Amino acid sequence: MLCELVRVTQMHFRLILLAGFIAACGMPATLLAGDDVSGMNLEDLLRVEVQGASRYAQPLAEAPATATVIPAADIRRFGFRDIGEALQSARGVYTSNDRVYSFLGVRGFSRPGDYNSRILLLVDGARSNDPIYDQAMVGNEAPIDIDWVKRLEFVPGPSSASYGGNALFGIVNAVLWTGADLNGSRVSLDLGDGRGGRASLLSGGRTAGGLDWVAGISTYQRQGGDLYFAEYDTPGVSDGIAHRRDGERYLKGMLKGSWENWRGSATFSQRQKNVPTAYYGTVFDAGGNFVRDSGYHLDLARTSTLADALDQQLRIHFGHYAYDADYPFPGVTNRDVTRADWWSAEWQLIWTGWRNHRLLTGVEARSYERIEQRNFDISPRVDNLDDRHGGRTAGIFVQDEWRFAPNWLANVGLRLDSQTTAPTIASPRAALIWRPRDEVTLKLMAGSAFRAPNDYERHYGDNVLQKGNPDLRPERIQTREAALDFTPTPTLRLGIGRYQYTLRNLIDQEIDPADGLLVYRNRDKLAARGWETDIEKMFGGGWRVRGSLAWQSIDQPGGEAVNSPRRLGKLLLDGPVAPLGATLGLNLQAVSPRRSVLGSVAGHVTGNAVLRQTQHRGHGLWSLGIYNLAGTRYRDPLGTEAAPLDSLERDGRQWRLRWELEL
Amino acid sequence: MWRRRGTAMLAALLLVLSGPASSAESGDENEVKAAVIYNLLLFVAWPAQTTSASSFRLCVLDDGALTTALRHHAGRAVQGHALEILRIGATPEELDTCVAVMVEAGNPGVLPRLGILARSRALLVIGEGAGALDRGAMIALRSDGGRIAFDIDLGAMRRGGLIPSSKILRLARTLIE
Repeated sequence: MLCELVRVTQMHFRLILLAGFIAACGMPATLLAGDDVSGMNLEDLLRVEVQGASRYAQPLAEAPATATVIPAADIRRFGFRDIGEALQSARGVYTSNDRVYSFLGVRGFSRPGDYNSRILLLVDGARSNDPIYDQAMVGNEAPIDIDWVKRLEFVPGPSSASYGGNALFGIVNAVLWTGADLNGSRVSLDLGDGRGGRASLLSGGRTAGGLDWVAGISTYQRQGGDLYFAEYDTPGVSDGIAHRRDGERYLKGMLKGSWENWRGSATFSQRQKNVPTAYYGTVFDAGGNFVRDSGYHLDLARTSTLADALDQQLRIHFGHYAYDADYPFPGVTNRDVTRADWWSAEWQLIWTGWRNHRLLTGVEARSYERIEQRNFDISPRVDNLDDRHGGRTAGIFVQDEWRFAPNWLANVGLRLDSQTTAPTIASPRAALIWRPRDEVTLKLMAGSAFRAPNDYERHYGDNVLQKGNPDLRPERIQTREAALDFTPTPTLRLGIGRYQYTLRNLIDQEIDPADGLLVYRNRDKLAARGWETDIEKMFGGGWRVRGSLAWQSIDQPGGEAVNSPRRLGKLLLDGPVAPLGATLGLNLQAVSPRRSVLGSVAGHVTGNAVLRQTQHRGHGLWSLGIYNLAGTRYRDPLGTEAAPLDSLERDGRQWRLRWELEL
Repeated sequence: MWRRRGTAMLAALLLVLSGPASSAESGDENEVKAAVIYNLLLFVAWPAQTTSASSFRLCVLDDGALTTALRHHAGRAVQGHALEILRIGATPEELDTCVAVMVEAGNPGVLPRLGILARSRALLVIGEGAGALDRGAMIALRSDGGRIAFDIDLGAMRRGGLIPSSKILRLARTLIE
């Protein structure tokens, strides 16, 4: 049966390898008790990170990575509709979309259909990638709503030294609002093209007893219009139009609270998307072709001080993920049912009692209680796959931040991970940070990261189209990077970075010549390097311009990598338009031509413009966003599961009208 | 086997969880803001007669988290006097003894009134949130990209006879004249 290729990823090369260290090492977290801010001078105070997720508090300039922070104000001003769109404003990041999921490209690596498995998505510091596909969901399928985000942190580069698997190309951390931030309610209603609408309610506050609470719910629905595919336009068979097969809806909910040093959260998300593209050889323009991703996460953490200069944090997490999809084939509908349940526990200690050092150590254990992949034809019932596994991983990590001389900082870390499906893996990292003056920061960084083969790659197979490969080895990346940050005046910042990485044993899909079945195999070495630079300038009157350029190239056997543009450019401009009592956000993205599996797609420039009222006049705030302003026609490469499609046209001009009310 | 080990680990975790508590973790943002406010007071010059009283009185109108954090700085030296944090209503009489006043984000309605009062006397009006300057604050604190930043309305300060040092002008994120 051709049926089960669900989630086949096959592509050619696109590696996302990137480098980075994330927060792992330590970006921001909340300040620790050991940090007495009252004695700090003004300059240092303004550098303190006050929120964030990682291992401990750290000013961005001292993080062993080149991080980008996207605050909620930018999300509103530029009208970012999901996490992927927001991240696309960061230097070197690009997105693609196959009308089912959104894919992130970092440093030239974005393999069609890899489900962002080489990027780690954290929500308030807790891992949200599922254990079957390793997917980091950044589009409408994401586990959270973009309205809940207080700030997004993006740290390119390998971060396994802090976070374990998946952190090959970068970490995305979504920091959600707290009750004290909200202190009231926010209602928003959106209308968009394709008969799309969205409603969201977010409330939060802090009780007299010190309980900080937040509750949010969001729902979205879009009917979608007709889509034309020349590849399916066959006279006498089909007119090539998928008639309203592009609908989508989601429901997301969130509850979180903190009291004294306890923090807890629960998030829920279910997103269903109709698939207009007839992937996996399904019937074109047929009803009932959909995918549904659902999941929930429960998280409980407690921070406390054990002794002078010794703090600890504990975290327990439970996750559930479900994937359901129907594939209409001639005469029979095929179904995927995938389920995962897992929990994890983590304990870390931070010791600042050794002068000029900050030591962090911790252990993490994850247990996969249920990993289930089933595929069957509904009627007549034929079972093609019924695979059940469990598993566990354990990791131990240590890192030290050492101010060995004035203006110098060294950050070294090591993590060991062992798991049921792979040998023990060591992920080291080292960074040297020099700040000769307040205005200049130079960072030299090296590190490695890994991803163990997931259950989908190891066990999904029907032996008709695809087979599993339990012998897969983990893929590994090694990255070296240098970055310079220069702030010559308070209103001007310049950044430049150079990186190179080597990816070994990349897990990629290919056809086994012996039996013609698709299978995941470890590939040969692949190397890449690139430059990235960005500039940020603030003008009088509140206007701000940010621009970035990235050049990247991947060396791999077999020619150019798929979906890997050699150049990326971005220009973001925002500021107040006084006569209208509004702000204007302009966002231009330029992407050079990319190779696709069978051919290529042209380069493109697209622009978004968002006008947003800033003055409440008693009836809320209105904003209007026009996306792909010029109606540019451009395409993204697709994976081989999309045949006969090789690339897909992205949306033309879109609009969104939004109304927000703060109570 | 694993399950059993997992149970033991959970039990161990719960034991540790029930250990001594302390470092409150929310409110950190307010602690940084409070420390920034204290530092700002060190770098503003008031007309000589304003600060001749025995204490340096920073008045607050609220009793929220930022005020709580600010109280930790009471007694520290500002311009040769001990810092006093006093909660008042917003009547002109009560404000007479204040050299600075801080308004939390949850109470923005009072800012325009304070801004008008401050035109005729040396009263530093500190607000919270991005829109506070527009509503009458001279210095507005806000969190931006995970850090604390402040904006200054230099014209409003000068009209009240207050002179910010070049240091805080340089560190201000936005400066309005």
